[in-house]
Amino acid sequence: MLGVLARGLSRIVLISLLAGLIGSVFVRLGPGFGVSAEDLDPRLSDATRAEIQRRNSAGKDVAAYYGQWLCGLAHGDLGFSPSLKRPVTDLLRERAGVTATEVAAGGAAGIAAGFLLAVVILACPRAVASLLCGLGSSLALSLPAAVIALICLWLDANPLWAVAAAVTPHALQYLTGVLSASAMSDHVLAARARGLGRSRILFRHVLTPVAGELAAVAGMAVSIALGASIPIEAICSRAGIGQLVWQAALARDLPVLVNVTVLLAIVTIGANTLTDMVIAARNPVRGSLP
Amino acid sequence: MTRAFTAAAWLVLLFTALACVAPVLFTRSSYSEQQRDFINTAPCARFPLGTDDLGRDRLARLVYGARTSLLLACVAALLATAAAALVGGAAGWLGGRIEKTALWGTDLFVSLPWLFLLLTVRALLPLDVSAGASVAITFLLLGLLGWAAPARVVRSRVRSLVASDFVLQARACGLSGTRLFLRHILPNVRPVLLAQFFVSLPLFVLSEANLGVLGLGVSEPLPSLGSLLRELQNYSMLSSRPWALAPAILLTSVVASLYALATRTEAQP
Repeated sequence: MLGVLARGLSRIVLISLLAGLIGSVFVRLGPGFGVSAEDLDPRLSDATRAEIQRRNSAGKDVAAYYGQWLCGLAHGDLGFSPSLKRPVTDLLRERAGVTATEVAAGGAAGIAAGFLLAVVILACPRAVASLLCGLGSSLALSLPAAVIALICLWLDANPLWAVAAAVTPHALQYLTGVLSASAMSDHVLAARARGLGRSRILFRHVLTPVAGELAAVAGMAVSIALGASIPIEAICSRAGIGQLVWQAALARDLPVLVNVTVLLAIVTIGANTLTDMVIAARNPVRGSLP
Repeated sequence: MTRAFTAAAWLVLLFTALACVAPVLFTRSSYSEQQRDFINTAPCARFPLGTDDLGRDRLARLVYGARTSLLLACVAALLATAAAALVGGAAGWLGGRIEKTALWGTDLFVSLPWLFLLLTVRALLPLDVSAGASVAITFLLLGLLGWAAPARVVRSRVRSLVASDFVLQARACGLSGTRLFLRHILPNVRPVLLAQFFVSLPLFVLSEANLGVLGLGVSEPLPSLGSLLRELQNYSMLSSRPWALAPAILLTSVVASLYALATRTEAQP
């Protein structure tokens, strides 16, 4: 358990540093670095324009910029957003809550819906309800998150339902596989042979052994929900991290993009580490495997 | 299952044929030609799906949009599969530090949400570019960023093959490294690569659609399934012009069919 935690923390630190470095390199190499709209303002004097260009081009050296970014990170200073004219720390602090709520609530609703649908498909595989569950899930899987957000907007529904709709088909796909494998295991066959009722077999012998797998779905759901939150927040006008990413991408606000890259890497790896810990706690032998 | 697969295969064939014959059905300029006398026309004999706000033929744009999305998703999937074969194959075959470095690289890519990665890297490239350049940028991006997950699958397949009995026997018979790789490992990895190619296709079509709706995909006037969906943001017009939903319906059918094919290919490589 502690080994899993230590491995997860070292992965978080290393991948975050790597993500920051790659982000910094891209920022410096991206076309248009050091150029701003202010350069075209006819009211500015040559001296002012030269000063702006000097300021914009400062830190062209990747190593110096990365060192500066790390130093700022250690002091809680993530830089300044040129497009929104505000410190990145403030922007992230204000918006993190909205996205966290959406991802947590939408992800949980998606997993719950996926789980219920998987149980329906497992319990009555030939019924019309199962067929409808499968069709609905395929439809949701085939729709881009942006279109799910548009549907949500038409229906005037809370955007977290759009996040749930994006997570549900993936959770259903995974859980159907896990439950089907569990339903075909030897102990279930033995329970059937001894004449146990269908519902007792389902709840006691099929669902209980795979409870730990729900943790694995949660880890997967965090990544899917975070990805889906970008178009959903952009289209539904929600002031979260997803909308910030979209605005930063359109405005080429590179300091915001580098910091959000690191933040998302930390959240995703953190969620996966927690998942690994839950699985390790339930099954120490499997959890200790590399 | 077999019926669904057959239906999906026929649909994919139909969409591909439609994409291929687009220049025969419509002239090359028909998707961008603006008929100022026919703005927002309802479906009629001349325009079976009506026209849009600029008087452009919706059907021509839909067919050309499907052509752009489908053909270029294939190119991007080929690129991603080739990169995955290279990275995953080298990692699995050579092992050691190369394998560890490749695993760190894939970890980094997989730890970031896919759409976020696409948006961020797309933002670092020029946004105000010609339609042709935007197509190349979008699908190169998909191909070059989509290799990580397939590379993991390829690596684990190569690792299991390296440890298998027949490879051990071939080594014992004195086969050289290159010959062993080309004659015994590569043919056995081919089904996995094929499955990864088919899995990437619907993912790339969906990703292009998401980028298109957010305004970071293929530029106007060239249509793609993603850029055609942007019109749906003005959802108040749907009650009077429901035929504007055609791109969403086509996209869903294409992706659902591709997913069905991918599932089947993955299950029985």
